[in-house]
Amino acid sequence: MTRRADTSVVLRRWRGPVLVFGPPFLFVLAFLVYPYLTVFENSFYRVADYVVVRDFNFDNFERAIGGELYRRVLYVSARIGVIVTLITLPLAYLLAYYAAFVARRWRHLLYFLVVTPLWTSFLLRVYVWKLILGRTGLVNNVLTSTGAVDEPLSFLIYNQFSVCLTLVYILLPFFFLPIYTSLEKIDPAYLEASADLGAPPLRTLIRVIVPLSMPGVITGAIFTFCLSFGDFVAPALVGGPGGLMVSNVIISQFGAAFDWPFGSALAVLVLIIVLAVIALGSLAEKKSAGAVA
Amino acid sequence: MDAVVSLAGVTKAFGRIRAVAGVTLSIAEGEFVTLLGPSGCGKTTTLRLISGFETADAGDIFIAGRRVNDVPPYRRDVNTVFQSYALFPHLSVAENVGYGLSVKGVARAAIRGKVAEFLARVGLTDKAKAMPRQLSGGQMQRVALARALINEPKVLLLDEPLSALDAKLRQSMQIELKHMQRNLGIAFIYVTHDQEEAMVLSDRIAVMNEGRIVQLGTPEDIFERPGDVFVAAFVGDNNFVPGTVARIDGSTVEIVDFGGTVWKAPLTRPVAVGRPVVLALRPQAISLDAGSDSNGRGHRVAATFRETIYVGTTVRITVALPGGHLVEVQGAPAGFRIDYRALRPGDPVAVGYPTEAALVFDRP
Repeated sequence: MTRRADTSVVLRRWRGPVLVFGPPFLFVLAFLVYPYLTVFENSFYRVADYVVVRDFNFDNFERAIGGELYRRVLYVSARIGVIVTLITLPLAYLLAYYAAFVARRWRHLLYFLVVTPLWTSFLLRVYVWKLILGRTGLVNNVLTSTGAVDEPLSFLIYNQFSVCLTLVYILLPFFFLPIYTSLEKIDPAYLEASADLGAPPLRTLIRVIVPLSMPGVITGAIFTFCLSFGDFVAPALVGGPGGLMVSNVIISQFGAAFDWPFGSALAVLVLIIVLAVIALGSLAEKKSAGAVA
Repeated sequence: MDAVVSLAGVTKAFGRIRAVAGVTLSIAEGEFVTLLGPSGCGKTTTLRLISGFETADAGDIFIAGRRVNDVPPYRRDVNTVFQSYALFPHLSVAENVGYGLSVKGVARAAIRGKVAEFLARVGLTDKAKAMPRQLSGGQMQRVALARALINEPKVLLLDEPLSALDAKLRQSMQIELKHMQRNLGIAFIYVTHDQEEAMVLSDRIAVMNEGRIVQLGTPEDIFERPGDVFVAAFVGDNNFVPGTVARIDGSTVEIVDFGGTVWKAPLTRPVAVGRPVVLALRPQAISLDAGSDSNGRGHRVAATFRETIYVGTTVRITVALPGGHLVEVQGAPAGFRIDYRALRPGDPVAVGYPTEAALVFDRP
């Protein structure tokens, strides 16, 4: 008798939370945690005769880190991530600064214009750069038809330059948004106080605006680095052999090479690097946000 | 030119609204001037025109004899204490205070010494390393003050700096501000809507309304000789009795209100018989007698008792004139000649006042 009463009380108390949080929890479990665990598990197996053999070993990691080729791909990918982040930072900051402090009436329109490209297909936006930079693309057409060059320039596309350019374009909104948000939150009274105390605009920018917007800059940098480091569309479409990045290698391991365990090991390495960057970034963000709040 | 700051016919409009409509004002070295007025009267805009955060549409602004209309805020020799304090949240108290010197390129060691000096001045030496969010309202106020004063400006501008503090703290800060201003000898331009605060602090008060200075004078001038009904109503309490000039007898004006009561006032400005006027009488200037008593001094009018409000240090008694107009009488509980506690609504009373306490204004 009492047992039954207890059960129904427990049921009633937990029914709400379970109904609300259960489905998303299950979703994450099924489509995020389980696949990651599978990848993690596979990274310790090996392949023999096109079959994954459940034979626990560290060979894949040895090959990924020890092998000149793969270490280089990881290095190139990280370097592209850093370069893209460093190039996007000033662009996004200037744009966000303009939107937050200068544009006034146009700020909403500007915001809209920056965000709108996110509604169109990622693939399409990368593909457009093929049309711009390609051998018969926009840039080369203009250059050859005006006689500025005799032959189409070949260094425009299928290398790391074109990958970086494309990624900067793609990731600008992701860097812009957090900076804009943090700039918009700055009380204009701080800027007036700075001017009042004798600081010209540039001084105010360096001493007040930049420190107060640091949390946004760090968030944007994490987004930009992680998204460019792990990107595979841009290198696949405009990268060519020189612009190959780690995600492309992983895909080929799962596809053409049919080496799921090795692909998994590379994916785990990428995950570790990304998580480390996020952890470092959050730490820095917490520190700067603590100073700002 | 002795004035540290002077404004000549300064005008500023926001869209169709004329926030400041021809303000002319001159502030002497070491003077404490308050811009007093209701919200929207243009006092803060006037202050922002001096600091340079707004630019004048017309008129000239001079700081220390130099026309500064086109000089940006960071090149004006004034400093501001903001209403919200605006302490930089990412900088410590010492860094906040030293900010002005630091952006001017003063050497680190010199800054450290000055910061210590000014933190000591405001009694916050032990808070040098604290962050602004760790401070109380009163402490933030002091940091804001130190941060502005360390630059030794010609003028310090203060925009309702005490409005965020509670009443007790506000009173002690008022005294502190006044002492600091005297010791430093820096001119203060102070914006407030609190007439009492203006009285306590100021050498001179500029009462503002609708973008204009309606009266400029010492606190005594403003309180005892208000220039018009607005000033009389805004500064201190006043009873206003509308009426018409009935007779002029030497230096005394007789006014008949709408209920037929005859009032007397000194003749301080030319008025003509039949002119619509308002008689102003401070509640503190009125005494109350029993209706039958006729020994009171000054002029007396008949009224009936309405109600008593006991405030502690004072008692406010409302009486009604024959025409129904209400008049407030205010005094210390022990200062009344009659036992106000015994009064019942409708009891006849006599309202007495010395004739010279009454003021006559044109009816607006």
